[in-house]
Order: sequence, then C-alpha cells, then structure tokens
Amino acid sequence: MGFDRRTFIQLSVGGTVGILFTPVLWKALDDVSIWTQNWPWIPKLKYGALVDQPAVSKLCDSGCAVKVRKAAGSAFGTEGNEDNPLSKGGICPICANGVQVMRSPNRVKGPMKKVGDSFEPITWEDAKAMLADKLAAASGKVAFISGDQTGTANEVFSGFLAGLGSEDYLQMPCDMQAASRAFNGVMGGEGQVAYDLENADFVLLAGADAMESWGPTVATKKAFAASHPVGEKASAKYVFASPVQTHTASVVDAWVPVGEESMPAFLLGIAYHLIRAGKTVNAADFGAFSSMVMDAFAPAKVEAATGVKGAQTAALAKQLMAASTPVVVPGGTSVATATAAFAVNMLLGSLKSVSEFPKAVESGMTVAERMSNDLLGWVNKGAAPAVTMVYEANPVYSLPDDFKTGFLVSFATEWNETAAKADLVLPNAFTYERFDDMQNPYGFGRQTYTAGVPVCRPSLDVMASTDFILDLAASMGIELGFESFAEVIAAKAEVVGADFDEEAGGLFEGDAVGADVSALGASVLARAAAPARGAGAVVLAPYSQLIVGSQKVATTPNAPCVISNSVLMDKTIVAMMCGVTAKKLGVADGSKIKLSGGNGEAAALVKINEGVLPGAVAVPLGLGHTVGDEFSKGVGDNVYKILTVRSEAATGATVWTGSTVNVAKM
Amino acid sequence: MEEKKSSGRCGGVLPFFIGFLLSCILGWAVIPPLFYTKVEQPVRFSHKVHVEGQEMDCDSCHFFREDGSYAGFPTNEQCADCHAVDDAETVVEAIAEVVGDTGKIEDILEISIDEMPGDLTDLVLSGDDANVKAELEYLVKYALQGKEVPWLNYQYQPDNVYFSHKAHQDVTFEALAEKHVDLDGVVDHAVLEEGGDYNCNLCHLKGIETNDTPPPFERNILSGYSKMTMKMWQCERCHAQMGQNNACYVCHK
Amino acid sequence: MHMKEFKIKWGMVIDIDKCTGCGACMVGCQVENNIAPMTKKDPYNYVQALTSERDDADNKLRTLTWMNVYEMSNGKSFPEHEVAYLPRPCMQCGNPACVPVCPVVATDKNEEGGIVSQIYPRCIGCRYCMAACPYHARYFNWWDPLWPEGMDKQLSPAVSPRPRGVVEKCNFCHTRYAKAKDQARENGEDPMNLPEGAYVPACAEICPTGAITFGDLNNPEHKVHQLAKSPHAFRLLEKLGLDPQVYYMSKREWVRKQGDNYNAGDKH
Repeated sequence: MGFDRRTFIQLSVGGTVGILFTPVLWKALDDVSIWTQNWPWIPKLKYGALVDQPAVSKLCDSGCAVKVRKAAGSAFGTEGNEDNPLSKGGICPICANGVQVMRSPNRVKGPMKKVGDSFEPITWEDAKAMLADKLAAASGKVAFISGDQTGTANEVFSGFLAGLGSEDYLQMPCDMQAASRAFNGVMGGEGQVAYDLENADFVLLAGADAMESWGPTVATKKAFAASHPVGEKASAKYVFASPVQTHTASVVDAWVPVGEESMPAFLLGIAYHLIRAGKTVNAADFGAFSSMVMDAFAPAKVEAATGVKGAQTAALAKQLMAASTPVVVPGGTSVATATAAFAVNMLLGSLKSVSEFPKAVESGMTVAERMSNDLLGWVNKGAAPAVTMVYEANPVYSLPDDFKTGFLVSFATEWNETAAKADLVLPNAFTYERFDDMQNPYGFGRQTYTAGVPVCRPSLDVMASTDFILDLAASMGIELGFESFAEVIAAKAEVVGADFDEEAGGLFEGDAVGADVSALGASVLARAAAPARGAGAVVLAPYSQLIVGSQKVATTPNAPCVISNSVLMDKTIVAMMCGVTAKKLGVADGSKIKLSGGNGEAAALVKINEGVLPGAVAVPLGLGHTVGDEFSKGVGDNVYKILTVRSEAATGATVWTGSTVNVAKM
Repeated sequence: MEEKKSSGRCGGVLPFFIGFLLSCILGWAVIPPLFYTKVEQPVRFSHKVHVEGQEMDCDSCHFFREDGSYAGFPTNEQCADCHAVDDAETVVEAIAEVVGDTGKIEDILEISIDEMPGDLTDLVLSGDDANVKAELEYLVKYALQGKEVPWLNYQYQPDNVYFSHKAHQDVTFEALAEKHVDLDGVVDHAVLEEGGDYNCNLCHLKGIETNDTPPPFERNILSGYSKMTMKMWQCERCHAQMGQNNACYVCHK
Repeated sequence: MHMKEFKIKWGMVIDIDKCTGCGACMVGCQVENNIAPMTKKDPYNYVQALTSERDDADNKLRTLTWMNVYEMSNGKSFPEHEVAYLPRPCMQCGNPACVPVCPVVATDKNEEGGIVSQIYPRCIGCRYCMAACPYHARYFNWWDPLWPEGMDKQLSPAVSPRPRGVVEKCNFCHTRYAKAKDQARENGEDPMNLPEGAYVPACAEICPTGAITFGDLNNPEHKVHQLAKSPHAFRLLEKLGLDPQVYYMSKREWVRKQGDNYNAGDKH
C-alpha cells in the first residue's frame, strides 16, 4: 500500500478527529477568548495598601481640606477630610479631580524662559540668577499678583516684595477683598468678617452664590445640610437674593430676584425697616446713617431702584428681626454691597468677626493690608512695573483689562494664559506636593487654621514657589528669617497654636466674636441709592460654577461631561434669559447671538430660563481659555473680557458690577 | 474489482488510526506545554533561608492589613525590617565610583564581590555565595533604587476579579471533608488527602514555604495568565458545594 | 413576574431639596470607577487621519456618566420659576428591565444586597439592556478608555477598566461593599449586618450637602429604611413597576410629580 491521495485524506481525517479528543483546540479557544479581554492598551491596575493622607487642596478659591487616596504608595483620587471643619467629609468638584490635574500633561514640566516666541528649558539656578538680575535692575518697580487668599505664602512673597522696596502686592479681585475693604476700610473694623452659618436660623444670601462658588463652598453646604436634615424639619431658613437662579437657588427656601447692581439699595431697604423698628448701632455715624436710610431708601424708592416689591422687603426685614441668629451674607466684588450687608448685620446685632492670626514672617503683610490694594484700579491707572510676579493666579485670562509690565514671571503649575505670556515660567509644586496652609478662609463662621504637608513626591522638575523665593531672597540679601517654607509653616502653626506634625499637617479651631465697627459708612452708602449700570442693551449677570473652573483653575479633566447644556452647548457658551428679555431682544431659544461689551465679544446660544431677572443675561465665567489642555482650550468664550470695569461711585473701588452688553444676532 | 475495492476500504482504517493517534499524542503531550513560557522571578527569593534559616513566620510578609485586605507580596518597607538601607545615596555614589559615571548601577553585579564597594557588601546578610548573589541583586536593582520588586504571582487573577483572602481564611480541610466537597480538578489531590495546618495550599503552590529557588512562573503565551490561575468554574464548583453564593458580583468587579 | 427577595437591599434616598447640582458626585464617580476623560485625539492611533475622530464631552449621547445630574424646572414664568437638580445613579431595580433581555447573562440581580451586576468581559455589546432601561442608566463604551498621558499612572484599584464595545453602569461602588465586608470580618463583626456608614458609595460620601443617604432599605437601624417611607419620598417612573432601590424625596410637589410620567390630565 503506497502513500496515495486517499491515504493522505484518511490520515488527515484521523488527525482532525483525533485533535478533537485532545484539549488543544478548546484550550486555544479559551485562551484566545481571554486574550480578547485583555487588550494591551487597556491599562492594568496596580494594587497595594490603600492609604488616605490629609492634605490641603488649594485648587478652588477657598481651598478644600482633603485626603489624598493612595494605592501602593501612588495617588489616584481625592476625598473630603471628615476631621476638618471646612470639609466634614465633603469636597468641591474641582478638588475632587485634584489628582487628575496633578497628573495632567498640561503641567509645566520644568523652569522655562521665553526666547523669541517660544520657551526653552532653563535650570533653577540660572532662573534664580536671571530673576535676581531683573529684580536688582528694577530698583523697586516690582509688583506681585497673588490669587492665593488664605496662604502664609503671601507673607513670604509680600515680605520679599517689601525687601525689594515695593508695596505693590496685589490680590486678584475677590469677594474676600470687597468684604475686607468694607469692614476694615470703610467701617473701621478689626479682623475679618465671619458668617456663623452653622448656628444661624435665618440666612439672607445677598448675591452670595454660597452653595456654588462663594466662600468655602463645602463648609457652607455642610452648614446648610445640618440645618436641613433629611426627612426632618429645617432649623434655618435660607433666602437667596440674586439676578439668576444659580445652583444655590435650587435648594434655598426662597429666591428673591435682585440685580447685582441693586443689591446695596435692596439691603438698605431692609435697613430702613430695621431702623423703623428701633434697631440701633453704637457707631459714630449712626445718626447720619439713620437719616440717610430714612430719606434715600424709603420703600417706594427702593422698589423703584430694585424692582423688589416693598411688601417683600418689609416681610424679609420682619423675618430677619424675628430670627434669633440671623446672618446677611454679601456676595460679589462690590464694596458698597458688603458695607450695606454689614450695616444690616450690625442693626441685627449679628455681625461677627475673627481676629487675624499673628504673622510668621515679620516683614510680610497682614491679610487686611494685602486686601486693601486694588488690582483693577492699579491696572486702570496704567501702572507698568519693570517686573511682575504672578502666583496662583491667571490675570491675563481673568482680568477684563490687559495689564502692562516689563518682565513677567509666572509661578504656574499648569500652562495657562499668564504662563504663556510670561518671560520666565517657574513651575510651582502642585498643592499635594508642597507645604501650604489655609488661614481663616473667608466666609467661614469661626477661626480656622489648616496646615498641609507634601503627600506626593513631585514627578516633574518643579519647586515650591515659596522655597524658591526664600532662596532668592537669601541670595539677594533680603532677610525673611526662614530658609525653607516648611519652617515657615511650622512657625505659623506655632504662633497660631495648632498641633503640627510633619506627617499629617495641623489644625486649629477658634471662635468668632461680635464685631465692632466705628462707622456704618453713611457718607459712602448715600451714593448707592441709584444702581449704576452701563449703557448696553442688557445687564450682564456673570456666574461661576466650580465644575467649569475658577478664575485660576481651568476645567478639570473629568469635568466636561458634567457641565450642563445650560452652561455650554457644543463649545459655545449658553446665555440664559427669561422670555420677556428674549422677546425684547428679538431672539428665541437656540438663537446664536454675539454679546459685546468691555474689551471684547462673546458668541453664545440663547436659552430661555425663567429664573433670570428680566433685562439681564446670565453667562458662565471660566470658559474660553486660549491656552491649556483639550478640556478647556477653545471651549466657549471668555466672559471676563466682556465685563466693563468702572469705579464704584459709592466707594471708589474698581468693580465690574453693573456691566452691560449689546446683543446682536449671528 | 469488487475484491480490490473492499480490501482498499479495509486498509483505509489504518491511516485514519495513525492520524488519530498522532494528533492525540501531539494534543495531549506535545502541544500543551507550548502554551506556556517559563519566566523566572525577578529575584531568587529563598523561602528556605527565611523560614528555616531565620525562623520567620508566614505572616511576617503575608499578612492581613488593618482594613481586612491581604498584603500578598512584601514591599520594600517590610524587607527593610532586616534588609534596611539607611543611606541609599551614599551606597549608590560608592557604586557609581566603581562602575563609572556612564555605567548603570546594575553593572556592579557583573564584577566579583571582592571588588564591590564596602558600603554595598556591608549590607549583605547572607552567608553562602549563591544567596549573596541573590541578595545583592535585590539590593542593587530594587532596595537601593527605591523600586518595588515586581514579584510574579503564580495565582494571578485579572483586574475584573475581586478575591477576598479574608472571606476564605477560615476554610478548613475538615470542613471540606465534612461537606464531602468534590474538588476534582479544582485543587491538587495530594493537598486534600494530606491536609495540613495551612489552607493556603488549597490554591497556592504546595511546598513553596520551604522552597530554596522559586519555581518559574508559567505564563500563557496567549492570555498572559499564569498556568496556575484558577478558572471561574473552579471557583464556582467549590462555592456551590460549600453552599456559598455564586452571584456574579461575589467575585467580579 | 418573579422577583427575587433579598435579606439586604442596598438603596439610596436622594433628597432633591438638598442637591445643588454642583457635580462633585459625578466627578467623584468617574475617579472611583476609572471612567476616562473624553478625549478627541488618540495618541496611539497612528492612522487617525484615516479613521473617524473620537467623541469628546460635547457629545452627551456618548459620555459615560454612571451618575448623572439632571436639571428640572417647574415650567413657570418669572418670578414663579423654580429649579431643582436630580442625580440619577442606576436604580438597582428590584425587578430590573435590563436583566431578562440580556442574551448572555452579563447582567444579573442575584447577589445579596440586590445590586444589579454588570460583568464586562461577558458583555457582547448588543445594548438590549440599554434599550430596556427606562432610566437611561446604562452606557455603551463607544471608545476605548484613554487617559491623557500620565493620568493612568495610578487608577482606582476598585474597578476594572472597560474596553470599547461593552455596556457599563453604576453598581453602587460595589467593591466598597466587598471591602466593607472584609473590614467587618477583620473586626470580627458580621459581614451580613453592616452598620450604617460602613459601606457608602463614592457619590454619597463626596456630596457636600449630604443629599444622598445610603443604606440597607431592609434594616430598621439604617436611616434609609425610614426615609423611604416618608410622605415626601417617591421613585422615578414608579408606575412601570420596576421597584427601584433608589428613592427620591422632595417637599416640593412639582418635583414629586415630575418623578413619574404623568401626562397632563392623567388620573392617578
């Protein structure tokens, strides 16, 4: 028998049948199916001990007390710190994405200097020498812009600036600044205003979007939550006065539509009823204040100025008087609003303040001192220092007007508009990679101090800006008294009286006291009766949502799918207005419009929202970045650029309250 | 013609059987081992040296954490209880002096022990040469560089499996015997028959605790899983017979 | 229809009167569950010029939001207008619509606790379950998860990353349940009788206003047990009879009314 075709076929058939009686095929099929479940480009997880480390997260304006979640020694997430009164386990949407921001490819990877139109890496040593030269040559014509409201870092920077012979230490415009200028400036108070929401039984939020973007949002929400226990009767009433039903409006007990520019008149309209009911304040100008309010803020006048019915104002005043622990909380950058709110609180006997913590850096500025400088006013006056340093802020993006400077230094952690424009970019260590602290975040009801220690090892060539400046100061012969910021924090914790530990940070809790003022600002507030608006067709009601970002932090990686269609649609911002306004403007739901005002224009889609004051257009701040990652760059338009900056008639403060825009269909 | 046809048909059975037999041999004996490639552990870790020589307990390294999770492999932190490197920088600098600036620090392992810097050799705790070599490897490649050892897990499970050691810590041989659990094909017969103090052997390599040179990890060339990776039906069989829930989320994530 | 009964029934009571719609829960959920940010560009796809672009977050039909916050309006004109926010996780229905339609049993409701499971390696991506779910709580992976460079250096060890082509959904952070049971065993406690707070999903934990209360609906010692019986409590599309394990509550009648699909003029 030879090996013919038939034999071959028989052999093959036998072989094929035989293989079916072995595990080979089945095993191969099984393995292949498992192989298809494990594509190499799908990341594999890394396991190890799970640890939570307390840290301060200074991404949002007020800062969050957080715990960084780590697995196998590497951070993957952030959660609230239940042991800290500012957090009580809660966390804001920006800080919830903190680790992802830390790992973002948009981080500045090392020190850079501008050469022509692009950047070149530079060593820290060379950068220090270069900046030292520029500062020496500037002979005191130096400015420092800070977006950090609460950090002791400000003491280091302002001390350094003082050593250079400059007083131009400028805070980015913020609600805290307005409050400080009202309380410490106009009214002659000591310390910082505190709002005891935890113990309040009636809260009037006068423009403060407190459950979304104003103040220590998490602490405020915790206070609100405690007063509104699930399934039980609420122990406090929250009333929100604002031009737009922002997030805060969705949970408060009542919403009162009041334009931002009308807020002082609205508040003094309440003061009218309080004074009528016999409330007094032990202040030098009470007589003048009282007759001014009686004269200029009588119900009919206030109704005309604000659009709020006289009966509603009277009812609010009555409720405030009936409450045992009422609090009025002003919002926005208007000093007049803050002054009026504090005057009402004084009449109610409910104004509280916390004293400032002692300084750690002797030559540094106090909080009230650094809050008294007016950045927008400084820009408007045409200041042009030889060197400007920017820390934790993005003024090129978020100031309505351009500012002039010779040499620009940015201590940015991530690439942003200011870093892109800077001559020297010195990447600051991320908030989890450095020592940092939060002293008395504005808006909280008690004294608090939280110190944080580094919990993540930097993976990039970054350096804590505080350490850099301490180093630079030493090399320039400016004595600040410390060699490293770790020492500054330890010293601060000591003067504050906090327990401090290099592993876990530190915490101090103190009380607020009844505030004393020497004046109610009668002469100032007299000029707040008539709301000042621009000449445009509609009033702009800009609002902030943390999920969109803040004035210093752009939209975080996991945020875009959270941003609602009422804020952003297909990379165009949404302009919300009520039906009456839309009709007046001749636009409808979905119309594409162009808003022009200030120094710019913004494209927007119209959305009818009956929760917007007639005559106002609500637009989101924080979009329209031109530098950054794909989550923020080229998404929407920058509303800061259509704001109109003007000097507040009453107080002389530079504000954008009452900005108006013209609307054109596109 | 008729005859030829029938004989042809009859003779046709033989090639069929030859083919059948050949592929059976291939399929049972030759091909299966080809599915796996043997990979050595990154460091020759001797359980024998640590358990018998140093009288360490299993839970010195393999213990439950406070949160109830299981620390499978030791980290550098645990190793440092004995193999402490107090000043890694100095040792690395000393090594750099020997291997030169251009060399990698691992290059030090290529030269003889006598020529190694004292800063390094002083750290070695082992006695005989083979162990010294393994220990040096651990020190140079991992401990000094602050890198964790990428130990290979013989019982590797993919990310979609959640296995709780805690839930299984009280499974005893007696309970298995009492419930007449049939673990044919699930675990090694010898383990069930012999029993023992540790239930670890039900799923983990038997005798690993006294092993001197760890056996190679057998990696499936298609799926990448370990040869010893327990399959879903194996988990399910024991669960079913022990009266435990077999719901999807009991084991998956 | 046959409904499985469980001794433990994990559930949520979401107080809409406390949800501000800030979105922290949605961010926390993505971090906990390894949901990658939506990116348009794929640095690993060298022939992207020839293939279609990935979707970014503009396309809300393709985002993965296990927890999704919806905006509600009472529909009235200024100044009577009111707004509310409704967070929507998976309802973990007692009688789920998604489970019986799955041809491969990739989704099931069979574990004590009543959480509807979704097994990714088993899912064939037919999306029948998505069509069946009236709450739009299920999501299809149109794209492979892709973290911007470096961001996947450490992911959450709690949840396996899913490839393109499978359906996923909220599972009440199920690994946290497994971990809580392990912790109970470690402490010598009964893993089948966890105290309130021992197991809390990421969204409930992170919520700054505590709008989400989580617990065992069957356990009288857990807050949700009572809250679910509140006169202000309701469930979404209750009349479909899916028996969701997620309850909502609101003192506002218009909110409660929108919770079910009442048509104008409906009698109920």
